[in-house]
Amino acid sequence: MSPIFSPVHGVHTAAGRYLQRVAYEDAPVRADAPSSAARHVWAIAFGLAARRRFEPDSPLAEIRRTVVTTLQRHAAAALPPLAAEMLIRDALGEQVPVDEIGDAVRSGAHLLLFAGLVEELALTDGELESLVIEAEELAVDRIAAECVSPRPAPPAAP
Amino acid sequence: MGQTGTLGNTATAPGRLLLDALGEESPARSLSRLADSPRAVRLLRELFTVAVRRSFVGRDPRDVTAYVRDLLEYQSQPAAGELAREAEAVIRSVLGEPELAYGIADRRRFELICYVVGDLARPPGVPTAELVALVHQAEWRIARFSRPPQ
Repeated sequence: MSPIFSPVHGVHTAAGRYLQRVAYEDAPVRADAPSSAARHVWAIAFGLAARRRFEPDSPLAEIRRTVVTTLQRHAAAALPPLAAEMLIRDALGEQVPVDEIGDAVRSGAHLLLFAGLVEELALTDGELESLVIEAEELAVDRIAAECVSPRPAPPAAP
Repeated sequence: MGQTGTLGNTATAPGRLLLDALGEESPARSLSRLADSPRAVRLLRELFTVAVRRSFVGRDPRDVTAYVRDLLEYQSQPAAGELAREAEAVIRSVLGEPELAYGIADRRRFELICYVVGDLARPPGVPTAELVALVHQAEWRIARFSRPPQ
């Protein structure tokens, strides 16, 4: 294969690079007017990290400890703790109230908790990069799936 | 002393007001009408604490989330958003996480307490004797905590 067509390694998007910077505490958690695509990547990365850190039946006290520790380290972000906890539980597949959380709070929580979870998991640089790349790829797949018109439902079995 | 009794045994006027409200058709709404009576509101708060602790202490904390969803759906209120989170915060605030409810306005907190306490009367409802015992316990808590130091 010609080198010109070789896949580019590493994090591809500005949203992914921002995630890495937040994880390294090198960027504020409140980005200036992020695009919906960026929010999408962050939401997916947060979900991946949450499911890597917790099981669906992990004790609530353990989830709560992560939320409290993370929010205490970033008190200036003033994120509502219960909304943050609900976002983690939602990512674990639980039916919890996560409606009516504004975009700014939701994305702030995704970024901050992502950084907190990565810290707790003690990921290496390479593992962090893989996680961000995985989130980027999943985001592209999901955006592509949303762009394709839904297929008609198969006819019901007789 | 056993925790049994009748409506007439309730020692205080606020206690009778609460029990009367719980006997009406829309208990939560009837309880919310007591907002102008500071003694009734205080007793209602204690009754809320007693009822919540007796229901949830020692159980899986996730039961609170499921209970709130069921409560709000029964009250025909939105059960997947802000109101549900606030209700969970108010309940968990008396289960050892007071900080969760710090940002909730007093009025909203009172409204949510009325929903939860009013739910004690949701059919089939808590038996009257048990309800009276809960009110007694709430009254006793007020008497105990307001006693001047010796």
